[in-house]
Amino acid sequence: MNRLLHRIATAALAIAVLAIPTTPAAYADDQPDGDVTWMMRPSDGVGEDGRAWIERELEPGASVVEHLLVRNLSASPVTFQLSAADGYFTETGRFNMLTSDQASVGAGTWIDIPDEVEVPSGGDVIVPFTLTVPDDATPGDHAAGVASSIRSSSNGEVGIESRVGFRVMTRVSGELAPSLAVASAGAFAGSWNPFDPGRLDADYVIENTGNTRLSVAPQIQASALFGLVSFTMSGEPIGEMAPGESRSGTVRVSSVWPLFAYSTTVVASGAPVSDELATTEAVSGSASSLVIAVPWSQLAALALTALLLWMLWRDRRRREGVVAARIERARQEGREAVLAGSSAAP
Amino acid sequence: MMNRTNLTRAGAVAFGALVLASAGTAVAAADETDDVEINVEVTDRYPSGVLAMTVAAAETTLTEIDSGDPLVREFTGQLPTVTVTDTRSTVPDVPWAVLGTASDFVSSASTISADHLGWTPMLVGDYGPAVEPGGDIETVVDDPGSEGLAYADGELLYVNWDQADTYSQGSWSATAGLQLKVDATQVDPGAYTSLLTLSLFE
Repeated sequence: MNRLLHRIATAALAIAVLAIPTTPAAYADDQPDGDVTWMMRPSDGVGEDGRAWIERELEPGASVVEHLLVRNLSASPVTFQLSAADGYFTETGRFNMLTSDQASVGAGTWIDIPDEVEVPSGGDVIVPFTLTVPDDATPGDHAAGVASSIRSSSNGEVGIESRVGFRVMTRVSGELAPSLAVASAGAFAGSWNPFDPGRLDADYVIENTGNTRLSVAPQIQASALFGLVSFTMSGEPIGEMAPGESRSGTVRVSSVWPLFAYSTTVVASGAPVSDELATTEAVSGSASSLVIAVPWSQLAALALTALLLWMLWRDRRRREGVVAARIERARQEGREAVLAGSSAAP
Repeated sequence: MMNRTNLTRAGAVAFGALVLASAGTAVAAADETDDVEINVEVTDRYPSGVLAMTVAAAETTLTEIDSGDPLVREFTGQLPTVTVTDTRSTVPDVPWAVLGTASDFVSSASTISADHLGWTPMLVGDYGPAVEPGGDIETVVDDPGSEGLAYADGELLYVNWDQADTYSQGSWSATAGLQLKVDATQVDPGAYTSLLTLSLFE
């Protein structure tokens, strides 16, 4: 019975035709059969305007019209779906926006864009869209993106939606408050070999708690023995972080001698990212922790050496004692012999 | 003696000579005619260049293979080839990347969460150090801590900005092997579909 079920399941999963796509069937009609090549860039209403993405500074309640240009480089006309969604930065610092099945709640909802555009082969179409800042928008940077997409023919189990887009970054004017929060923890890993230094790992989490986008350069400062030994090391710089995002990282410092305790501080220096929008002052955050680095192997080696020395010393004392006892006995015998000799003489 | 063989030979030689002579004459004649000029003006249609993405038209189906583990069922497929072409005349400030995110596999009766889908990106050609494929993403069956392609923003193809000096105009293609692994004891039979979103952003 199991075998039969297994076979049915295999057949069901392998045959794609039964799959009912939950998306509108319009996609299947619109896609040409060949490869599709296209691009999308910001436009000034007339053509490409050279911007890589859109950055605007707006008051709450303001509304502007921006344009995008879609160019179809394929062999046949294609209808592209247009979408706007909240934007964010990934763990590795790349920009992406929410997928079509996720609901936007932030700046993605501020953009009003037509649903689709048909572009002839080799041609451009410029599409206007509106960016409206709500009256109650919080000041600071808000990230969104717009994209043009096509859907592959939906006969496979995995439908592919491919999109090309660009960022739409809005800075809502008001009080800009850049700030960073850092949390850190460190650990020391010693070596069995007393002549080998150990390794200090400092883990940190940096959160952008302000309302502006920041680029962050983390740095580890460690000191021991009341400052006699200290060093600093830089962590992997973070290219760009949007408000509310956090990034974690680790700095590994090798060749660190275990000096009982290291006072470790992670300092994150933030700097403004964008040249177009007004610059803000530099901001930083830091967190300290104590990393215990007991030199176990070195202490063990010292203890072992001390033990050996003490044993050697004790041994020597004992031998000296034995020798002294022999000398004393010899003297005693000598005295007795002398006494015996003198008493024997007349 | 003029027997048939000799006659044939003589005829062949004469014919060959005639052909050569004609050819020679023709060549000589050609040299004497005027050259034909061909003029063409190639206008720069897109003066600032393009950053474009090409997606091959292909269905993506997942077929079952032997996973080697009786408790795990494995399905594999191939992502259609994605090509990014950059002919821009100025080097961009920010590196581009193609990221992939998958939604849950849904059938009429049940769902397989998207962290059961992983992929192994690979470049189609041998490109320089400036453009790299993303790392493999494991399924949650192989690595319980992995998010799979569920909103994990897997990198398919990206520009390595540490190698920015070597970045120049070009065209780079990548594809990826897809793996769906499910717990054989827990999966419900059915026809499932998922949506994999590939995004090119700077």
